[in-house]
Amino acid sequence: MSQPVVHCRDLHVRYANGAHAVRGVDFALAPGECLALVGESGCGKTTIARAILGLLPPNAQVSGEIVVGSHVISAAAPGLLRRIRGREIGFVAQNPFAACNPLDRVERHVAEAWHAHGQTPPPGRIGAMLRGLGIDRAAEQMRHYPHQWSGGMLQRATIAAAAAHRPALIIADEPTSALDADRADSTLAVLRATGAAILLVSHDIGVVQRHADRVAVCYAGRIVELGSSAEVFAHPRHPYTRALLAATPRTAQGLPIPLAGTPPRLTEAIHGCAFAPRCAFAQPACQHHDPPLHHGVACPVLYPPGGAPTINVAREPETLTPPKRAPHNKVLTPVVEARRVAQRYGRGLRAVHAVRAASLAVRPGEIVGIAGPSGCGKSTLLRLLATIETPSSGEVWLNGELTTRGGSQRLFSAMARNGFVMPIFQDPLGSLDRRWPIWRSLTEPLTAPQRMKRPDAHQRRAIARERLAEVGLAHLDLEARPDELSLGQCQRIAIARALIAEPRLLVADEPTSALDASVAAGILRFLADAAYSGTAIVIVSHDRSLLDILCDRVLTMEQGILS
Amino acid sequence: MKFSQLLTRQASMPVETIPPTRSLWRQLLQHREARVGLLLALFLVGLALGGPLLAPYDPNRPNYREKLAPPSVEHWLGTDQAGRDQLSRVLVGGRQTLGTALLILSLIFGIGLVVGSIAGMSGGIVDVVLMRLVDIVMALPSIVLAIAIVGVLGPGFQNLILALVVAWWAYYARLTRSYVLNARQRPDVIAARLAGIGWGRIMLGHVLPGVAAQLLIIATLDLGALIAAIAGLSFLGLGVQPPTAEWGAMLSDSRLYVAVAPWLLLGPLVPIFLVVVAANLLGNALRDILDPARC
Amino acid sequence: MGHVSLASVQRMRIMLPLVRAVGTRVTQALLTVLGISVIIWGLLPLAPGDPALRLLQARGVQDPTAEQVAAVRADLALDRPLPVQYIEWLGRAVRGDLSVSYQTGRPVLEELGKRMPATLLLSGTALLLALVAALGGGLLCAAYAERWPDRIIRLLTQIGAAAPAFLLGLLVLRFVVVEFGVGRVLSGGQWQYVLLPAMCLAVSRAADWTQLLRASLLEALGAQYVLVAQARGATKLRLLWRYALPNAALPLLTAIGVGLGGLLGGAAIVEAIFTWPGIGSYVLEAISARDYPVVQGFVALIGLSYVTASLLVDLLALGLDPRLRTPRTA
Repeated sequence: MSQPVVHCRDLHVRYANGAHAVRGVDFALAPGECLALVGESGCGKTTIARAILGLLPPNAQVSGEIVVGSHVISAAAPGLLRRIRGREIGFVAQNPFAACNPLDRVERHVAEAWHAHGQTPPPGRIGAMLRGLGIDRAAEQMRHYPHQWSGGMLQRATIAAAAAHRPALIIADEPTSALDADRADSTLAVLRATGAAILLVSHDIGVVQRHADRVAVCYAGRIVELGSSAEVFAHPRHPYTRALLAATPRTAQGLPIPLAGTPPRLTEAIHGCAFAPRCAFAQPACQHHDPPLHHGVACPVLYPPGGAPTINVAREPETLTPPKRAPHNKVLTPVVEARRVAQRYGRGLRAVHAVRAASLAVRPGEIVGIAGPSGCGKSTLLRLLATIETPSSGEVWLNGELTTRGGSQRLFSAMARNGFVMPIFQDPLGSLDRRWPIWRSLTEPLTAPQRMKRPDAHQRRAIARERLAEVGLAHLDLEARPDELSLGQCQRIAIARALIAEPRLLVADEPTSALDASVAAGILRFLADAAYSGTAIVIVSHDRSLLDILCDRVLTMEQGILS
Repeated sequence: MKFSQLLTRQASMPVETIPPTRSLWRQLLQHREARVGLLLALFLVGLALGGPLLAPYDPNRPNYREKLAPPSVEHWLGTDQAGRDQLSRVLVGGRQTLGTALLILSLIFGIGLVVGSIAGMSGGIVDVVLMRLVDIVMALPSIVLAIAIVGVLGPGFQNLILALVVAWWAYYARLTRSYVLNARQRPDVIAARLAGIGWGRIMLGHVLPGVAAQLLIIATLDLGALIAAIAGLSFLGLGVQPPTAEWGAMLSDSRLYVAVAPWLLLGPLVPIFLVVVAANLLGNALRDILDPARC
Repeated sequence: MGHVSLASVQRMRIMLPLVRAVGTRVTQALLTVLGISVIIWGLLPLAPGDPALRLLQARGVQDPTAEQVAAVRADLALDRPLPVQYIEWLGRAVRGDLSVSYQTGRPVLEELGKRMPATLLLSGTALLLALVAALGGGLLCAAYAERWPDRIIRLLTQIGAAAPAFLLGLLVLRFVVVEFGVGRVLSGGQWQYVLLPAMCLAVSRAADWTQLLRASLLEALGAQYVLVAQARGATKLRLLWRYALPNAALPLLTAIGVGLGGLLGGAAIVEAIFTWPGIGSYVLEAISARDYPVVQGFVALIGLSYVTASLLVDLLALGLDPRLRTPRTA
């Protein structure tokens, strides 16, 4: 290729706590090309991006060579690095609101690209840039503050700032994670339209599939597969890539397949291939060899150094038996039925109509999904269905009985307060009481006053042990606190807690948004199994492909209106 | 492969957990500032408790022949204008000052907790009225309110306690209320409610331990300020009356003779300072440990 | 109907939430003042002794007759129910009549007014000193985080935070004034001698505020927008001065509002130690003389000052933080 925009050779990064976050990474980016670094949390992709900018914490050790244009970053003086940043390398951060100083107008934020170097922006340039990016009434809008802009528009403003000096390289660290799905595509289109080479760090497979030219799959600090985006997604070769794609709803065939185990701890030395303990194709040789990328794949069995593939690349890894689906009986009474419920906060002119006249019925064993952009009222509808809130008008019936009614004849019945409906939340850590050991959180529903037999502490521990095994946490310390566990473990405990109450209805608000794909797939399995046992599930998610795969029906919600 | 087999395989893989230090004591001992604070606190509490026993002389018995004697072997901290042994007075005074401070803190803690919980849980008019009361009390600086109350009711031990409790409780009530309001929306509380657990048990199990931890941090940090307030008020003649030994009152006595007998000043001043330092160290350590790691 | 221009409608749209925000805060402050007035008035019924008797004695009548006392009691509405007494008192207080000092017979407001400037001088200087120290200390700590300047300043703040104003005052009085002859023991409230007492008052505030500013600055430096600014090529100094400091100033401002109360309160004790002729030392005299109206006036004055200062701080925060004055319009 012609002179690459950025070139990494044998990059290693060690943090002060001993974690070897990047363990020998090589790649190069051609001008105008978009290379995506994909992988799950802790794989090192963000560290690589920061290393190129020279923005790692001061006590991180970087070895290897990073070359951007004609500058050797890895050996550059701080003054040189500072001059390069912003001018030859642009940066787009994840959350546009967090990326802007809340006290500065948006105009100032974009102008920073010049002010940081002691220059002033050419008059009218900022307005022209913003107009070019599709922001109407730019001259007036840019005098507003960041919190007055929408996420999508604000991200375009940060892209304007990043591209202000027409750098050859723009590093985008999860630029669409904080945005709604429809905004994501337009944001990436804007990014590519700048003409710069883009290093895109993302865990969103869909976005990468649609916009990236090449893809590098990262695992445990190494690149395990590197190739054109079309090739990698159509014909993944590395076992981790295949497992990752099988666990992602968008690319999975059927219900996503979870990946057992966890990535290795990077604070300890890793012998051989890091993925071997979890790999379906693992051979004894994998414990000793860890080859670099060969034909775009770093796998000791597929492409051993200096040899032909030893196993059949096309062989399918073992599949998971799909969950059982119960046939739906339309005659059964709906578990929950909402009749023209509406929710309004505030009064008069400043009232917010979160939900308008929504009607919905869910039968036992049915999984209903609700999709929609953020702020459309999905979470409020969920709270109304769970009778956490009483609607301002309309009725909610649980199991054929009127439970809440809004309006002039306000009614609230505590009928639901006995484990009939249980929640699953987006934040796994917040779902559990941080001071309680997990056996206590898990078996708390069993201590409700209405229950006939309330177990004592000893029995509760035994029950907790059983339930943990059902979610694959058999050997977990019962006395552990949520802070000591991973997010995936916490969410599984939260599901076990919800199910222990034997609910007829589960309401799940973005249950997998905070989790990696390989872990999220397991959560989806638990939900599917619970539905088979007769529990009705209403699930809200911003990931349309997830809902399409899991749910019997998907409804869309927009500005409070359900369709 | 069946899903259950995947789960078994999952369970058999090594689980990544961070080795915990769950016990609060152990965490305190590992914290550098806390160790110093604990040591100081232990020393001071020991002195306070053992005060009367350790005191070599009767702290209130005058001995005019030995008045204003500098520190010596017989009197480690010298004597005051009535010939009373300073060391004995400091030891006994410690009990007085520290005991009063702890008593006041407990009352403040209790009242603040109760009022804040009621406000947070009731909502509506009760909440508005209580919070308005809190705002009004907090609109006056604590010392000023305390001086005014004692000034009007007259000096004395009981009035001192009343004044300081009235002046200090409001902040704790406000903290409790915002914690309770926040806790009502917490996911784990909502899950417990849906499961059928009653509000009483939720308050006891989920909410109160957390808010008590927050208040404990504030109380420990406030101990220093409270001791300074007690000593200050006694110094101004508004607190404990002579001849009771109390650090603030001793400071007040020392003023008149401070030019000729500086040891009268240092005797009570050093322990006050040490107590405040110990309380600050412990308070900061508790804050580091209990918050934000837990809520 | 005149022509209402688009520009003026837009101006109104921006001004309206601001006006509403300011209005809410001012109303709250007024309600609080009303509440305080109940407490202040309440001090008098609580006090022992007969106000009518004391009042007559203050006016110079040595042995008042029963009729004179009864007349004054009727005057002051002392035999009416308490709420009525409160209303009457409030009516007089709003017009500036806070009764008279039992000692001198002169209006309370006049007596306090004579001594207020000295207290303002003391508190004001202390505030200034504390602010300067906190800004300097906090910035240094954040700029050199975890290095020796940071460690030293943190150690100093630990000690300083534990040094109550009156302890420092006693120490300074004994060892600096008496020993070294700096300043005067019996100062007359002149500005040449304000430095020492103001420093004693300022130390614990300065320590608290330094710690707070340091923590806020470090938190701001860890924020995303600082990382992004760094990625645009900003220097470390620029990051600290232009990004971290304005954002850290907001929590500091709130803390200053609260800490002002401690300054005003601690001033009374420091005045007593340094015999500074402000309202603090005056009220202490009044207490020994059981001059209750003066005590009431003192609380009223301090309370009003504190509420006003808090309101100003609040309005300043409103001016500095755009999020408080403009709602999300997206």
